[in-house]
Amino acid sequence: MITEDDFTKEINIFYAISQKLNDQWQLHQPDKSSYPQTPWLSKRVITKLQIEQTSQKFSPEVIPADICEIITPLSKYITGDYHIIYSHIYKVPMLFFNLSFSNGAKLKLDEVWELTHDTIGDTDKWSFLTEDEHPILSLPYFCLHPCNTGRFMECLLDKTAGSYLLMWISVVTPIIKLDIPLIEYYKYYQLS
Amino acid sequence: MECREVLLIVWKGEIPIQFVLDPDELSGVETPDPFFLLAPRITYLPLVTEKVSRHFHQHINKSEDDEIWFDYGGDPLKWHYPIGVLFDMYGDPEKLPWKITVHFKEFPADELIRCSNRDVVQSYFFQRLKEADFLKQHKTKVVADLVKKDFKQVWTALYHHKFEEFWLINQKLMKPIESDTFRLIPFKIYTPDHKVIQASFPSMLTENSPSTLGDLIHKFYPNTKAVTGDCEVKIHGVEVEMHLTLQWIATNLSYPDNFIHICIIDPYSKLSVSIFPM
Repeated sequence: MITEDDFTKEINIFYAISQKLNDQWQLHQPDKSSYPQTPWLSKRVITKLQIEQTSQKFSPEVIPADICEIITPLSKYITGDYHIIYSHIYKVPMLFFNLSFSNGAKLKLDEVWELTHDTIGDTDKWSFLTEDEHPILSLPYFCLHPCNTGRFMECLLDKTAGSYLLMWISVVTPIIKLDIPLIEYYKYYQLS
Repeated sequence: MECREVLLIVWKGEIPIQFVLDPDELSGVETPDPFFLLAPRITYLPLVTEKVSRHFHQHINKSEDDEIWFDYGGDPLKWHYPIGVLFDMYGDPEKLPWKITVHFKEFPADELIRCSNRDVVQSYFFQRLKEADFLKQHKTKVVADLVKKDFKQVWTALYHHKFEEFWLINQKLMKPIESDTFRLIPFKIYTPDHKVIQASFPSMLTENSPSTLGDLIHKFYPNTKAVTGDCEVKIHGVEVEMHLTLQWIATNLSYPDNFIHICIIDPYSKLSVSIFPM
């Protein structure tokens, strides 16, 4: 678990590094009248998904948003909207995200499960990833359930290694195929 | 300790609802009759609207993408809030039955969580029970595995609306295990502008002083009409005294998900809705 103060500190460091790396995360500070006051991060990424016609399986390939490519009939551009938020219940970071096709239609839960099938599998998907209400925006977002985060972070976290947030990001982002230049972040983190 | 009479009154709270089909979705010339239902306050719309869906679905041009959803006065209703909370936020006790519009087309996926089947509701409910259990009982770890069977039984009892079966298990979840009171109080506050405040708050302020509803409102919704008494603070549609302890409220007035759902209602803003209906 991580305290709200430590989370805030790490979020700010992460954001500063992201600016140096031009990684395009945005920092949100809730307005003074609202509660809680914990800052949070968001990022939008455009991804090209290859959809195999026979199995309807997705395989993602992150591309820079500014490169124009010829799209094959079976590939689709997906816009991902990723949020890193503090859970005041479990005292851990939480990942909320939405994925939408280029026509604006949001992917459905089944489609998101398909995308994460290689890491989550079928066995416990209901207790791993579902749609839930965004705790700050009160809108529907997909969410990786945080209830066991504290436990697996205890196993992972080498107390001397530093950033709880980076460690957590390194575990959760591969699940949803969000590509983050972690090595670069670690380099800057050690300098900070 | 629970007060059985209070639990029964909470369990039996009902809202008379009149469902009407969105006229734009009507396929033929014949307008279907409205569907009337006495819906328990403590349950969720998808658990009581299977018949509503069957009643109206034959009157529209069916397609594979049809997915039932509801609105009141243009506001899509979030099925994952208990019916009683939805009514306290949007409805008017002076105007019954509560008239809700039924839709099957153009599901507003940006505003509502999709609910294609009952598993979605069950999973949502389990998440909340797990959170509540963690807040009430545990400092460091989630022991959800131990109570998974209990969750399942609580869910089945809610689905079939069986009071005795529900409380047979729920009283276990409502019994503090590490001291006389819960560690933290599971609550959600719904504000007049339809925002939700969710945070953690202790059941005891100091060793001898239990926290009250007034303390909670003061902390999370300060400098507002709710503090000065110009807003109504309602749980299950009833104004609740500010001096009541949160421990008592959590034990007796929680919804089945083990959270206290507190609605702050600004009578003036509701008045403007009823003068200028959408």
